[in-house]
Amino acid sequence: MTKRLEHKLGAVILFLALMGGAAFLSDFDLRLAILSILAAISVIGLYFAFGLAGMIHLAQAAFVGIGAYASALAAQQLHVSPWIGLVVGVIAAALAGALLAYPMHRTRSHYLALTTVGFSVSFEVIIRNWTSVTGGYDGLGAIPLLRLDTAMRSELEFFYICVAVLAACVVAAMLLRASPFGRALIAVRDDELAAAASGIDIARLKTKAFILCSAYGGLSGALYAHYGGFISPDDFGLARAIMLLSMLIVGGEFSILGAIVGAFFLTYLPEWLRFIGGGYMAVFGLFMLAVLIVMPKGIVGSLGAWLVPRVARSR
Amino acid sequence: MDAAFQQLMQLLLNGIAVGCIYAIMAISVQLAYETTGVVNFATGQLVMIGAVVGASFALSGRLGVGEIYVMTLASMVAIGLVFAVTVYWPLQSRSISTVVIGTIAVGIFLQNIALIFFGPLPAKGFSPVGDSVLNILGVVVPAHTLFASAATFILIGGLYCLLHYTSIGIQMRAIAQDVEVARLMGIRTTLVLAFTWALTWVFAGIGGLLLAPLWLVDVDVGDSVALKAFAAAIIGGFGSIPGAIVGGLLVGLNETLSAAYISTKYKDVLVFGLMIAFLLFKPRGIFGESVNERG
Amino acid sequence: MSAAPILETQALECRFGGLRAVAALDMQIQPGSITALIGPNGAGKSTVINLLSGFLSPTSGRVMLGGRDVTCEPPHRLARVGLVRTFQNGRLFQRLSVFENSLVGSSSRVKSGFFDTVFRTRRFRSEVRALEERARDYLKEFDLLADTDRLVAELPYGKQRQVEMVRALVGAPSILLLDEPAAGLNSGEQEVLSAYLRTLRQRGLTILLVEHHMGLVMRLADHMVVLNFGKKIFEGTAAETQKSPVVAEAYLGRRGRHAVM
Repeated sequence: MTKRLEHKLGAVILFLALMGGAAFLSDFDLRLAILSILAAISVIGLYFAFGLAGMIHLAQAAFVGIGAYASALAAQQLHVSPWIGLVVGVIAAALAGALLAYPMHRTRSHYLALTTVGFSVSFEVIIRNWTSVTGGYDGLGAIPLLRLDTAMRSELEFFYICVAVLAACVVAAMLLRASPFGRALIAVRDDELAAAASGIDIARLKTKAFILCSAYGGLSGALYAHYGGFISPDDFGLARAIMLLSMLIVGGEFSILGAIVGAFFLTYLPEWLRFIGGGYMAVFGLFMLAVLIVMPKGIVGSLGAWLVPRVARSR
Repeated sequence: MDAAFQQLMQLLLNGIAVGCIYAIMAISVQLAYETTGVVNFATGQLVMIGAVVGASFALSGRLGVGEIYVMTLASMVAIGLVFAVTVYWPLQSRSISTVVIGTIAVGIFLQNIALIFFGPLPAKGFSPVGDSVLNILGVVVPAHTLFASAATFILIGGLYCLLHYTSIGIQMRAIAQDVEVARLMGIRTTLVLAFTWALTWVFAGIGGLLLAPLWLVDVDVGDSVALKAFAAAIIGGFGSIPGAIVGGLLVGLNETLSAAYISTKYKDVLVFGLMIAFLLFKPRGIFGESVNERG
Repeated sequence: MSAAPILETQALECRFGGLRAVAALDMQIQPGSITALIGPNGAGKSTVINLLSGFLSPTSGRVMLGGRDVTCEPPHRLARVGLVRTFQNGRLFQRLSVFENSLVGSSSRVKSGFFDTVFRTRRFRSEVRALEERARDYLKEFDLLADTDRLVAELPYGKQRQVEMVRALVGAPSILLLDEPAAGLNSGEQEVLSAYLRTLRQRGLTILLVEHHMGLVMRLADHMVVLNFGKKIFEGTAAETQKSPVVAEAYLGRRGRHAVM
């Protein structure tokens, strides 16, 4: 018992040290970290829809976008505080998720993927062209920022806010995973027939997972909107959706930690590769392929297998 | 000739031409799916490579049109086989989601490699019939439009003959029905699959070559056509060549007619909306065979 | 046959194209009984189980559960009203432990929503505690408590089938449909299974099983229904079934002309 307590204490101390150390990072470094955290929140949502429920979801960026635009417009036009805007963003995204999820529940793998792709692209087209509401191609600016009015630099302050939100998201996700809901999702992905025979309403369950995923995405989008004060359709299209799902797969689709690791890794990787010059995204594509071929369970899954062979279950 | 009627005829003929090209791409998607069970999300990039490679050969100015076509398609087959061996083969036993992301990663790679080699500037495609223009019943139409439509029908006719009258075609259809049984019956599945892959790339490449003269091509052109090719395949119905044609024509006609009469900005949403509706409620498409899919 | 049947089929028919897998089946299962559904291979027994448990829709006819028409109900709704089935060769969730597999069986009894789950409200905690207790009780009956945290794939086949049984029972069913529960079990395990099924009957559970092991079935069943080519050719007690020439002919074929099964 004391050993576990030691480990937990050690983890907490490490965490506090990292948070303290963040004060010494430059604004640029903090920005990357913030973007990684925001991505991580979206990807945790994908963990529910894809990692647990097995739905190939290539439209998460659209829900991030819905959260972002809803929150931004609420703060800008209705003059609510950005904090309320966050709630608006989450609800808007969740509602949109509910609308799309129900008809989709019977659709399978490739067809599901294509449906979400179609939705992503349609969303992008609508956002780009509905200029009166969304500002179109030029984007939406003058969004009120989320601030606590502390003495810290705004970048550092927002970083701490994001860490706190991420922590809450992770805790919520862990609690959901370790519940009948989480077990039912794994059961459905493992064996639908047995799951149905056990009394699981598969359609309703997948819909719930999808709505949950959308809500996480919406939260991420709302935070993003109130971070930079400016959003544009480029951030919420199919390319971004593909990137988000890739983060989960590369990080390890079967765990919340995998979602976070993947988000950080694929946010930092293009930065590391930038020195290559023009073709760095080609290397990025190759790299993703390499990970898929060599590390089928993602970084967390494969590293976990090497480090702790006995407990190597893909949960 | 009434101006409005002229415009309508032009739109129809252009729409049919574009539709034919979408039909070719849809067939590329279907061929891959039928035999390997993989929806190739890199199809858009394949089309783009066909267009861009063809444009590059043309720009060099030293080759005749026929040679350009042959060399482009040969390059595509070569690249395609490289990918079959290095990417699809190792991933084939994985879960569907892994393969889907794998094809997407291939697409990203191809797009950016093309960017390195060909640069970001768009190029004007060329056509075997040049820039000439025909006058049919008072309607002015680019010759390439008719060439593209004619080429499509010849191509699809050829494919149909291949599939139903040649031995390799029959083997392809056998594998499409059931790979294991085909293998047990002595069909050299690896070779036939390689051939099918090559055919997939060839069709995509031809789609690109035919598309290039209609639009300016750059490395991003893949994204815009890919989804419409999928829409055509879905609406028409997987597993059906007539389906690919009908789907392609519908998408192509929507492209020109909706743009003119409904809305240029939202015409794509119409097609995608239709595709989504089919996916949700009638995934078999118009002509498709019954889809028996275990996710 | 005086009490109302808990489960009955009326003119149940299932066609696949031109093939009649089940034809005009009238069957009544009495509450608290053990009924065995037997017949030669291909007689349609598994199809009947699939029809009764909602995995197949009949082409015509009805299924009545406790007097209610449940013909087109999907499997999860049938589980909710107390009809639970197991599968041929067992179907377990490979990524879940023994304990978790058992818990999934109670999915239909979970009322907590997102809010309860995330905030671990009292309603959630007491609900989970009750379900976990029930799962543990059943696991104890099968002597599986030592294995609760192991992945099901690590267990021998006999124990895996037991985990599936626990999962089925945790849902508090009133009627159990068992598809070849003795398949792959050695004689010792079959004895344990028989004894346990008798215990379940004593507790008031109704059981319908499809089985090939004649010895087990003859000693266990109160009532037998014999199918051949999708039709019911005989029903009665075990003793009557054994003596019936119609049944013998179905299994053995006409004397001298067909191979012995």
